[in-house]
Amino acid sequence: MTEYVVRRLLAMIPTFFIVSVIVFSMVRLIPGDVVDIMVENYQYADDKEQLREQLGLNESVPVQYLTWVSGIVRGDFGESLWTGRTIMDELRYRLPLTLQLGVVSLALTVLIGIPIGILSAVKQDTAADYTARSFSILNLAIPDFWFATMVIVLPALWWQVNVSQGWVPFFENPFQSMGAILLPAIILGLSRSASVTRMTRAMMLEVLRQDYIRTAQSKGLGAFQVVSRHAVRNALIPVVTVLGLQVPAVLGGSIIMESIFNLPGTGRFMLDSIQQRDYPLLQATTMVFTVFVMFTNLMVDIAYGFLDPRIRYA
Amino acid sequence: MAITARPAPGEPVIHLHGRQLPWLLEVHRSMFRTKPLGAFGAALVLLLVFAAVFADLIAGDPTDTNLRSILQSPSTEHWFGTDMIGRDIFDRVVHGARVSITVGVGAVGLGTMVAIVMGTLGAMRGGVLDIVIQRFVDAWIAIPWLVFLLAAMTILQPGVGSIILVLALGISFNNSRVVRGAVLSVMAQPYLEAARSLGATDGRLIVKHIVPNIMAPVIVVATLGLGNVILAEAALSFLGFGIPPPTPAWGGMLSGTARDYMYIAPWMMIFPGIAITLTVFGFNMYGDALRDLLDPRLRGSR
Repeated sequence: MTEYVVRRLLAMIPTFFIVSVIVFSMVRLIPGDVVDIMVENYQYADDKEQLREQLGLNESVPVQYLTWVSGIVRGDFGESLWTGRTIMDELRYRLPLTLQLGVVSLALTVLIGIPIGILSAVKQDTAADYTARSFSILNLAIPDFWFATMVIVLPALWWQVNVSQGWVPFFENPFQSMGAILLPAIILGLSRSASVTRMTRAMMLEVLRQDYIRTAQSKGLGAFQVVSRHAVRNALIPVVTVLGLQVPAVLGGSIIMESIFNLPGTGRFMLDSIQQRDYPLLQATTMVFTVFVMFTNLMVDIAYGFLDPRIRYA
Repeated sequence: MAITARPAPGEPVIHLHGRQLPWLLEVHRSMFRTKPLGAFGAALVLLLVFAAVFADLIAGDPTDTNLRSILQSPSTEHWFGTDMIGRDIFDRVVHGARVSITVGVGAVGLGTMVAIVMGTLGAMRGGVLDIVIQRFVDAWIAIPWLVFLLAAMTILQPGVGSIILVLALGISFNNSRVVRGAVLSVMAQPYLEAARSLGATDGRLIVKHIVPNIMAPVIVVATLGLGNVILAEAALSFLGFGIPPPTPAWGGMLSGTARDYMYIAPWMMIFPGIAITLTVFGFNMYGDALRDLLDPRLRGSR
């Protein structure tokens, strides 16, 4: 087991470098130079060359890449080109919000998706099944950005209520903190739950046809016991994979939710950095998101071993 | 008597391609009998295609501004109301169907073709090529898709062509896995062995035997992909990285200056959103039913 984890972690090193090259070159390919924007739109400086040198953009591209990567290895993401603040400090403030939003969304995804999937399988091809599936596909189909807009606009129109609140760090005021992210988290959780429902239903249908389920029934166990103790436990293992696949989607969704609900998180930070061509900032946020996804994939694979003793890490 | 692989003159030649139409018709007939939700989805998809094809007949010019009737609420004259420069929302929603279908069919069509090439090559050649393709697919799955799409759209400049290209890339990576798996399972079949021992070349194997036999899973993932692509295009246009105005894209109708009017003219927001929802709902319901009927092994993937 330990050996497996170590090997997987080592295998992440080349992937990390591939991703860093992709991210670095993708950011440089974006048309529109940050120095041009700064000088022409904001008169940040008189001399472009001087500004370029000040920002470290006068170096050749390979040198810039090496400076950047060696910085990351030492835990230094550099400074924002616009504000001059270190990106580490910014992330320390903004990551907690995105993580909190992500964790609550995923928890809601599980709490909504799995029970509906179980219900839908147990009552296969009944009105309950059709309702449950329509509900979950509807959640998938409603665009999250539109849903969020409606959730803000309609209460304001009908009852003059403002549903978006300011966010504060969780340990400062847990209630206000959770209150600010609750609505975006529900919206993301609903939209992500559909895949989980689909997988749960499919696996439950397969498991319910197994011999051991018939054995459990014939030894006189009640329906609830059969489903909860014998079926669900075996059906949920592949659902963990599907849940892992939701992580990149939730991170993408946080970009949209944070901009609509005006939350100062990493996602909106990233969107701004694209528009402002803030290279170090965009590189840092993209890297953080990608590494995060890589680690959750690893955790999903490890969790498999605990959930299913048949899986051996050779 | 010599055994020939070719049919004797006059003997009917069975073409798999010729059998595909009745085969698909049969699938749809049983969908209408046994899958009410799937049939409903198919009806929504049909409605969308109808709106896209006949947009010019059903609705007026979507870019026609009328400053005398701005921000009007829905009425008999303007069914869905008008926007801040007096464009009719109904006209724009109907023409938006055309944009969504163009992007959806373009991206999914192109992406699926690339996925078939990638998946078939990987599965048939194996070795280094297969490993390289698989690692690229892994890397694609690790990068949060919206981040990639935003950066790619900024590089290529917003527009219908670039959005089709970028979304097709995503589709090809995602679906190449399904194609690869299907090709591997076809290659293990005795009929492929038989064709090969009759001297069929790789090219003939692919065109005559492999591709026709992987069509079922490919059709399923393509149908489900259409919904995802339309949703992704809407999200990109909403963020201002998709299709630029004045083209009536549903996502774009909810973004930019339109948001300044969302409290005074909520109908500007409501109708495009409903259109996106119904479209994506339709494709998913239809795709799920197709999956149940065509390829039970795929059930529950993704």
